[in-house]
This record gives sequence, structure tokens and C-alpha cells, in this order.
Amino acid sequence: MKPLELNLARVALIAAALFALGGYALVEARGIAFGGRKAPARVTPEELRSSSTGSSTFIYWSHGLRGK
Amino acid sequence: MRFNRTLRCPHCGADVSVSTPGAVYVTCGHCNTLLLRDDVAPQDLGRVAQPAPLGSRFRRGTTGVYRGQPFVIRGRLQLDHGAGPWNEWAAEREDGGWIWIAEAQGETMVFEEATPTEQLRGQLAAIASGLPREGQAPEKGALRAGGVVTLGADRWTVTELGQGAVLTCEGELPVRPPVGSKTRYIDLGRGDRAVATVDLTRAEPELLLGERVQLADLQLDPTTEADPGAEQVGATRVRCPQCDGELVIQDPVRAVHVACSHCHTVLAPASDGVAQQPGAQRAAQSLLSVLRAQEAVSPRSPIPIGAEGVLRGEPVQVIGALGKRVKADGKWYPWRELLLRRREGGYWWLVEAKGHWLLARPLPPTAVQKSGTLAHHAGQRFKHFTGGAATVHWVLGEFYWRVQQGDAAEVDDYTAPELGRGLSLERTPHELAASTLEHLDHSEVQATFGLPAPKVPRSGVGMVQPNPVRPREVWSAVGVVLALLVMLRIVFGVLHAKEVVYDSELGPSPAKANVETVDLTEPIALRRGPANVRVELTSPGLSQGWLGLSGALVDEGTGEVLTFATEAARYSGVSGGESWSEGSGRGVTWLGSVPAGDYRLRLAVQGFDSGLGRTYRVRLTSQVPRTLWLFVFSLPLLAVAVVLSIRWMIFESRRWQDSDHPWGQS
Repeated sequence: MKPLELNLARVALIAAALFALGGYALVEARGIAFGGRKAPARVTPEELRSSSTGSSTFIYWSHGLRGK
Repeated sequence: MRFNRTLRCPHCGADVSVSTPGAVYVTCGHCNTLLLRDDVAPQDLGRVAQPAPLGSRFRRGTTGVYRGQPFVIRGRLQLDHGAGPWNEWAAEREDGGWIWIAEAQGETMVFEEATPTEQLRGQLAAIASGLPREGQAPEKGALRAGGVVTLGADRWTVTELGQGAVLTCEGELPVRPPVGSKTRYIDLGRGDRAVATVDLTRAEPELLLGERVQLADLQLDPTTEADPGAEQVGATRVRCPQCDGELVIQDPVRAVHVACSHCHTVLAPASDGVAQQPGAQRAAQSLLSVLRAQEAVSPRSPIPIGAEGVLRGEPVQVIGALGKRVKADGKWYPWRELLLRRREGGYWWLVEAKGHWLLARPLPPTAVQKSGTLAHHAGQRFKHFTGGAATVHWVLGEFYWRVQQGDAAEVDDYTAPELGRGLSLERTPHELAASTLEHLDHSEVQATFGLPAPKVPRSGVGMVQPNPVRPREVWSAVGVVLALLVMLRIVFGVLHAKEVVYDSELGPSPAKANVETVDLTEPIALRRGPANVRVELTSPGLSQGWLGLSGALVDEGTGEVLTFATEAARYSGVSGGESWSEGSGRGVTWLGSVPAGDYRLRLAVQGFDSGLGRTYRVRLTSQVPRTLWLFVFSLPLLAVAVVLSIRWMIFESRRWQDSDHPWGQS
């Protein structure tokens, strides 16, 4: 038996177990998800209300391309 | 009333005290004359040798308790059956009965003579008639080691067919000791404790029934115990009669064969045989005779003969080494066995094969149950590993039995690698032997005997070498972690709000393709955060159509905007004679770590095919537990477990490659 090898196996297993438990608890507690994208600029509700498809305001905050 | 008589020795005139009326024979402590006690005058039955100093915890006068009955030791016999002398102590019980306490190779056994019944007499006579002729191998149908006999209603396994002699005696004895006469005996065993001996010394076979005991079982009075160390004889130096080289004999009392470390000639005490030598002469071993030379061998012990150390908590000394080998498929497979003398009494073996070390400790052979390729001992299961006819290739050092080049035995080795243990069973026509095997790391052997760096390169995997991976433990640990994950999932399922913050039927979607309709909702309150938000787009009855939703969740307080998109589609048809369908008619997307606050939702929808001009439903749910994450985070754990299991399989495959049952071969 190689103690180092035995220890490495244990360390790998313990690390994977901690990662599984800690990672799962963290994403659930923080509500992490990978959908949705933060727009590069902010808008006011008035700007939002007045925006429509193709309007410069909408295009700006949804795509970050000012002036288009 | 206490019994105490004094006799006058007819040989030397010294007083000989007799302390029990049950003692019929007594030896004179001054001149070692054996006397028959007689009320008129003791009869001189001749002189006997002084017992060899074997180092025992018993002596005349030692008291103890066996099975609730106090006993006192009155005398002893010293016997030899070719494996060194041993003591049998005659102990008188309080009720006047006698028991015999035998000490051999570190074991203690208590025997009592069985009451002969008619049935037993018949059975014993039948057993005795099945004995092979003296000094010959058993013929077909004859009794042999491993055979089964019936005594009373019990079945016993023959563990040894042997012959020996009563060397000498001392003290007070209930029966006449047959000093000097040769005996034949049959040793029997049942389970790990029960033992029996059929003694064929006298005309009618006698049966002694007994059991293996621990010294503690006998509850010896420590004030009456002997000091085994005080009696033991130390090493002695002698000259090899063949090469005149100096030899050190570590255990001169028990050494029966000595292989010279210089010329490798096998030597024996001058009057070898079932020795009837006085103990003192035997102890000196000053006279050795040449027995035979060893042919074409160069014995080399991996640990020097005489090396001492503390192994597994017990002081031991290497006193002999054997080279053994077995032939399989035309090839010799060698290994080496080192005889270790334990200071506490008895022997162990160190076995070295391909650089792997095993510690072998003797075991009652009847404590092992064989069934097919399995063997069971102490509730543990062992798998057959290798078997064959093992022969002694060379000998070196001293041995307590008559060992020589060419000695052969059928050997079967079994392994339970998960326990780091194995079993070895040896069988000759005359004897069964068994031992437990334990893996020893080379570093432990090195440290025990102060050896330099390994001389023997290690190759392959040892028979009982523990696998660095224990899959049962790995998968148990994985199971525990998965159970904890499931519990966490349940906890989050209970604690998470799963609050529907927006649920509205909207529409219709645009009537033309590539055109958006936009809705702006009233303020939405997200009370929990940061939390995820699930967005669902549904359109009941959607078929052969597509709906696309581009949304934006705008924080009214900060102006931060989260954009998202999802689609609901469902198409089906028949292509090449096979029907197909795709899409579920439902779209879902997730927004991550959305802070608590007031939001407005901007929803822009496009349609295609039957998705044009349809009503649709949008629902936002805050803080929803996601089972997906449970699987995602389980994956690395499962991956590690799978990798370790593969590692375990590779290791086991290498181990079993060297066995009679390699993996992948039937």
C-alpha cells in the first residue's frame, strides 16, 4: 500500500464531497442561475415606458449599442 | 486432612515427599529415579533424565482454576514427536480427578482422559486399524491427515498422524509414564478449540479429549507461577563438523535440524531420532553430526539469521530460513520463508515473495472451513489464490522439526485483500497445518530488523496487499454525500418561497411574422433576494407554431436591467414514413441572483406559423429550488468515485494475474 496514494484518493473524495455539498448549498441559497443578462446601462421607468421596438432607448439598454 | 508422606529413595536415600494419595508414581528430586509408591517400600523403576528447560509458566505447585475446579500441578511428562520437546503437566483437581496441560509451539491445551464406553472402544479400535504402517505414506483407504473419523456422535478431522516418545518425567504422576518407549498417536481437531488425541502407546488405544485455552482461562495464581525466562537456555556456539565454521544455535533445546550458514550442510544432534537424551545434553547441542549436504543451491536469507526485533508488538528473532518453490506450467515460482522464534513462546513465519512480505501465524487447521474455491475462518471469507505441490529448495539456520531439501506439501493459499489477510493451508499425508497471513509493508520489516534499503525489488501486487482503494468505503461515502444532497434539496424545497410574482395571460401575438408586440407590466414586488426567478412562456394548444419572448426585468429603484429570452414551439409531422415531433409548446428560462425590490417587466413577443395571433401566458416565480443543481454538483463526486473504482480494478487485476484464477480467464 502506498500511503501517499491512499491519501490522495481520500483527499480527492473529500474535496469532491465538499464541493458537492458546499456548491449545491451556495447556488440554492444565492439563487444562482445562468439565464438572463445584465444590460450595460440603466433606464428609468419612464424611458422604459416610452421605449418600443427599434427605439434608441430600448436598443441601448438591451444591446449596449448607443445611437442605433 | 492434608495428605503428606515421605518416602526414602531406594537409589540415593534422599527423602521424597508425596503430597497426594492420587500420585502412584513419583520421581526423586535428587537422583531422578522413578519410583512406584508402595506402602511398604518404594520400588526403583530406573533413572530418568532431567527435563529440558523449555521455559514455562507452569511448575510443580502451580495452582489455578479450570472450568470452575481448582487444580494444582503435581508433575510433568516431557515428550518429543520430532518437532522439539514439549511439556505435559499433570494437574490434580480438587475432586481428585487429573487433567493434563500440554504446551507446544506457544499453544496451551487441556486434556482429560475420556471414559471408555463399549462404543468408544470399538470406534478407537477401528481408527487404530486404519493407521498406515509405521514410517510409510498412507495407502489407499488408510487413515491420513485431513480424513474424518467419528468418536461417539462427533465427527473429528485428523490433523496429525505422528510418532514420538516420552523423554522423561518429574514429580508426582497418576499413571506410569512410559519413559523411553516410542508412541504413536492420532491428533484430531474440531472447530478452533476442540482437540483430541488417540494415544496408541499401550495395547488398547486411549482417548484424551481437550481444548485449546488461553493462559488467562486457567486463572493461575501468580504467586505459584514459574518465570519462563529464568529457565530458558541461551544461544550456544558450536563448530560445524563439515567445514569447522562457527555456528550460533539460538534455541539449542528445540533445534532439531541445523543448516550450516557457511557450507550449507544440514546437521543434526549427534543422537538424532526420537531423542531420549538427558535435557542438559540436548540443551548443549555440542555434538552435531552431518546429516546431508544440500545440492546445487545457494541459500540466501533476506534477513540475517539471528536478527532480532519487535514485530507487531512482540519480540521475535529470525532463527531459520527456507527457500520454497512450486512448479506451474513448467515454470518454478520461488518464495522464502523465515522462521521467527517468539520470546513469548511459539513461532511465526515471515514470508517473502517477489519483494512482498507476509506475516504467517499458526492457526488450528480445523478452524478453517473449505467450500469450493472459498475458505471461511472466524466469520470471514477468503478466496482461493494459488495452490500446488510446494517443495523445500534449500534450508538455512535452525529448525524445530526435521526439514530438508525436497520436502513436499500440498499448499493452498486463500486471500481476502479487503481485510489485508489471507490463509495458508498445508497438507502432507501425515499432517495438516494452517496459518493466517497478514500483509507487511517492507518499511515495517525494515524498521523491525534494522535492515538497509530493500534488497529485493518489489514486483506486481502481493497476495494480500491491501488495495489502496476500498470501493465499498468509497461508494458508501458517495452514498452518504448523495443522501445529504437529497436532504438539502428537501430543505430548500421547504424553505424556498416558490412565490408566483407575475402570472398573466397576454396577447394576441402579432398577426405577422417579424413583428413584435410589446407589453409593459405594472410594478412587480420581489420580496426575497438575491434569489432566482423562473420565467415560463406557455400557449395552450400550440401546434405547428412558434412564439418568441424577449423580456427585460427592470429594477425601478436602481434602473438595472436584466434581459432574457425564451421560446415556445411545437412542430410534428411524418418524414420518410416515420412520425416526428419537436418542442413542448412551453418555454422556460431562469434569471439568477435577482435582488429583492420593485420591478417592471417589459415583454416583447413575436410569432411564426400558428404562433401568429395567439394568446399566451407568462409566469414569473421567485426563489424556486432547482433539482438540476443537485445532479450538476453530484457529477464530480461520481466522477472521482468512478476513477477510484477503475484504479481498484486495475490493482486487483494485477494481483490476480499471479494467481490460479487470473481475471478475464475462465
